Order: sequence, then C-alpha cells, then structure tokens
Amino acid sequence: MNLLDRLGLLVDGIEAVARAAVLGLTLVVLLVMLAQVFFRYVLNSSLQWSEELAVWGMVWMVFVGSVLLVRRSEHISITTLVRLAPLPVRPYLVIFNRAAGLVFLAIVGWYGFEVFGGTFHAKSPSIGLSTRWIKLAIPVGAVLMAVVAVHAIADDLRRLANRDFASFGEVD
Amino acid sequence: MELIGPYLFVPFVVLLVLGVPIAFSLGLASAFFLFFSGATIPRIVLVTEMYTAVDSFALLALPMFVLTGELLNRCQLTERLIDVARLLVGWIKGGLAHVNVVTSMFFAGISGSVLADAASIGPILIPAMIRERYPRAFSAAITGASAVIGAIIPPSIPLIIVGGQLQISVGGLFAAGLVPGILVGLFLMIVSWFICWRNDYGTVHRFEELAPATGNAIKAVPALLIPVFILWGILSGVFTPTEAGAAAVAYTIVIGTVLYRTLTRSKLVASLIATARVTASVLLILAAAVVFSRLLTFYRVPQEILGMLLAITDNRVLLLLVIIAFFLVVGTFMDALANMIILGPLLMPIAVDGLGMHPLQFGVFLMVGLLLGVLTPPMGLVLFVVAPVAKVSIERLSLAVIPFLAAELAVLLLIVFVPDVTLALPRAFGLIE
Repeated sequence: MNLLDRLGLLVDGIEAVARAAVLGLTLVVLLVMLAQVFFRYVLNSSLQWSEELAVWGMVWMVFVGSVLLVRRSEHISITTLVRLAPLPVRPYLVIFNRAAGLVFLAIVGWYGFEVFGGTFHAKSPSIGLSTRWIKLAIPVGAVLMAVVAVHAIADDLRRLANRDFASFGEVD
Repeated sequence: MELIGPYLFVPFVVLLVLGVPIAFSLGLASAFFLFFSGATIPRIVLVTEMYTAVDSFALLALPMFVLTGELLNRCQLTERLIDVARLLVGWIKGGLAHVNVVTSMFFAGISGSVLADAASIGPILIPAMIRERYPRAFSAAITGASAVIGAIIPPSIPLIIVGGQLQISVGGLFAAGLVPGILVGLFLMIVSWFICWRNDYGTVHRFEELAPATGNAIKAVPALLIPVFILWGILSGVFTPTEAGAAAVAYTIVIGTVLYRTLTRSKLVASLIATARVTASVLLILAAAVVFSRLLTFYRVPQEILGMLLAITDNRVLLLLVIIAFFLVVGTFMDALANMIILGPLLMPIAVDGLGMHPLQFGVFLMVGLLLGVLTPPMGLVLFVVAPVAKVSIERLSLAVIPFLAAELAVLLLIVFVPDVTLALPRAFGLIE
C-alpha cells in the first residue's frame, strides 16, 4: 500500500468521525434549545446554561462540519474562471486553489493552538468553563481540514501525472 | 487606504477570482495583511476574531431554520402546498404562474432559502406549466423569480446572518422583511397576469374544476401553521427567533412522523448532517469575513468611501441609486450570502450614519439588493437550478426573467425610498419606536 492510499484511509477515517461528530453536535444543539423553550414557556423557569451550551455546540459544529466540505471543494467559491479555463490549465488552477486554502488552514492551525495554550481566556458566565475549550474547535477543525486538503492535492497531482485532465472537469 | 488596498483588497480579489473558496480568500488576504503590511496588530486576531464571529446566540437561529427546511423538504410536502395555492389563485388567468408564486410564499414562510425553494417547486410545477401550454422559458423564469421570496419572507436565513453579524435584532429584521416579501409576490403575480393575458399563455381553470383537491389541500394546513406560529411568536416578542426555530423543528418532526408519516429516522439523520454542512459553509465565511471587516473598519475604510462618495455628489437620492447599482453589479458576480457578509459591515456606516437609513431598513435593503443577482448570469444560481428542469438555455431564460427582475427592482426601490415599507410593521408591533 503506497503513501497516498494510506493517507486516503486516514481521510476516510477523519470524515467518518467528523460526520458522526456533527450529527451528535447538531442533535445536542437542537435538544438544548428545545429544553430551553420547554423550561421557559412550560415550566416558567429559565435555564441558565442552555444558551452557552448551544452556542458552543454550534461553534464546534461549524469547524468540524467544514471538514466534510473540503474533499469535493464544496466550500462556496467563484468557479467561473475554473470553468472557463482550458482543460490542460484547469488542474493547475484547481491545485493552486487548494494549496492557497491549505496555507490559510496551516496559519489558523498554528495560531489557533497558540491561542489555546495562552493564559487569557475568559470563563463563560454561567457554566464557568474556560472559553479555550470552545476556541479549540478552530485549530482542530483547521488541522483536520488541512489533512483532507493535503490528500486531495496529492490525488490531484497523481491524476495530473497520469494526464487525466477529464477528471478535473467536475469542479462544482 | 494605502495599506488596505495593496495588502488586503488586492490579494483578496485575486484569490477570489482564481477560485479559492470565499472563506479562505478572506482569511488568507487578512493573514497576508497582518504579516506583510507592517501593521502592529497581533496575528492571533485571526483566530480570536473568528471565534468572536461565531460565538453568538442570534446565529443559532440559522441551524434551527435550516433544519426545519431540510425536514419539511424530506416530508414531501411541496405537492400539498401547491394544492392549497391552486385553490387560492389557480382560477385566475395565468393560473399556474400564480400558483407558483403563492407556493413560493408558503415555502418562504417555512424555509429561508432561495435554492431550496427553486429546487423543490421547480421539478413539480415547471413540467405542469409546460403541459398547460406555458412556454418553457416563461415557466422557468417565474419559478426562479418567485424563489427569491424564499429569502425575504421570514424566517430568512440571510436576515439571520445580517442580524447576527451587524448586531441588528433578527426579530425586527424578520418583521421588516414581511411586507417587502408579500409585495414581491404581488408584483410578480401582476406581471405574470399581464404577460399571460397579452400572449394568451396557459389553460384557464374554473374554480369548480379545482375544488376536488380540497381534501388534499386541507392536509397541508398543519404545515402552514408553522409560518403563522413563527410570525406570531416573533412579532409579539414571546419567542426569540432562535427559540421559534427550535419550536418549529419540534413541530415539524411531530407532524412529519405522526401526521404525514413520511419522516423516517434515516431522513432525520440526513437532515441533521445536511444542516451541519450548510451551517458550516455559511458560518465559516462569516468567521473569516469578520477578521477582514475588522481590518477595514480599523482603518476607517467605510468613512473614506463615504467621503469619496460625498465628494462626487451630496444628493442623497443619487447616492442611494449608486449603492443600488453597485449591489446589482456585485450581486451578479458573487454568492449573495457571501456578498452580504463582506459588504454589510462596510456599507452599514455609510447607509445608516451617512444617509440616515434605519438599521432594519438597511438590513432588508442589503439582502434584497444583493439577492437579485441570483437571477442574472453569470452567477445566477437559481437560473442554473431551473433551466435544466425546463430544458431551456440560460440565454433564453435570462431574457424571459427580465420582466420579473424589473418587478423585483421596483420593490427594491420602494424599500430604499419608502421607509414605511420595511418599518411600519416593526413599529406597529413595538419592536422599534
């Protein structure tokens, strides 16, 4: 088994975990909000922690959910130029675009862990947990996205080496 | 400006045009600025501002309403909503065109997304319209044009983003969007009535022919209570939009499983994952855009632009027309939501402080102005959704959509120049003074 295949297995694993995680997170956000509505309007006693917990769930959901959109380039972009580009040029454009994203993700991963390791985190007002655990979603998501992007670029390069231009046709 | 231009704006536009995802273009351009412009802003703001952007209770309404829409789409409810619309307007000349508009208005009250609207109504109504002798291009055009209402009538996904990002009350924005949304529907119906009458399009049905569908239509009533309930909750101030969204999800699950029996566990799981994907793709752009727009406001770019505009003319009407023209142009080139996220913070100081617009009015203006781009090539996403269904070329469809686009432009002008169109309803319910 070559390196690309191993990386592919890793990415499959990352995506499976991310999918399970966002399923759980979305469910938690929904249930917490329903609990808030139920307590406030049916039992007439507001929950103190529900808004914080739901927002945290959403923050994690955003950065983990973003991982699922990397492989097939589903993050919203302007695809006009890629679509208009002549077939032999297209792979280079696709690879450049992925690489630019990868640079950003690397920067976010780096500074994200620096922020996480810093000492200036507020405590959340009602639950009292340090907000570093919420901010952690950003570098974790960035690193997972970066791994998926590295695999996608490697796969693009392999297809480019095989002169398989047609497979770059599907850009959306 | 001498720093922002070469170090922030140019890299952003270059990356964007090359096709780098919008979120990464915004983030990478901001990083480029922080690393190379010599500015003394700490680089960790890249991460801390991304966190601040998404850490918002108001934004929680987004996954709630996306989920409601995803669930209802999987309940196969569209046909029943169409039956209701047929009874209401199917007997007018141009019947199915009106049905199309009214179904979109129902849909708009439940889901907040333009593409979901076009994608669920198009495949059912476009073939039906073609069977009843409406031209293909006309059928696709009215489907696309009416889908725009999906984002205007509350609940509205774009307005949740606008409100969450610019700290405008989402409930207030929802109330402000209702009248413009209904106006768009009315204007579209008037235009299609005129076109059908003049060219004698379509089969005319008498009301008695439509009456047998009543039984089916009644089954749609529980779903139509969702928009009534959401509007009541938000206008009366009983619910926050987020809570209304959560309640709408619960209600949808109940009627989907108990009443319609079309909602299975696998559909629920698919809806939850689809919700996370949509939420992630939109809020990641928002997160990156907040870093970008903080830099713009830090260097007082909005004030500079306002100064430049005022140097050209101090005629308020002319300035507003310039902004409208700008919206229409940029709206044709980029995704409407991304445009709102990037331009909102830049233009709000100009429109609100400089030109005296109310924040609620500005929010609806921003959204509708940028939204019309979904109906114009080359970016017209809605055109690409409906054209294949009607088997019509984008070119012919773009021509057929022009009268409807003009009707929507008329509503946009009303939003900008008649504040009561947006503000009367929020004022009547005490949401603003």
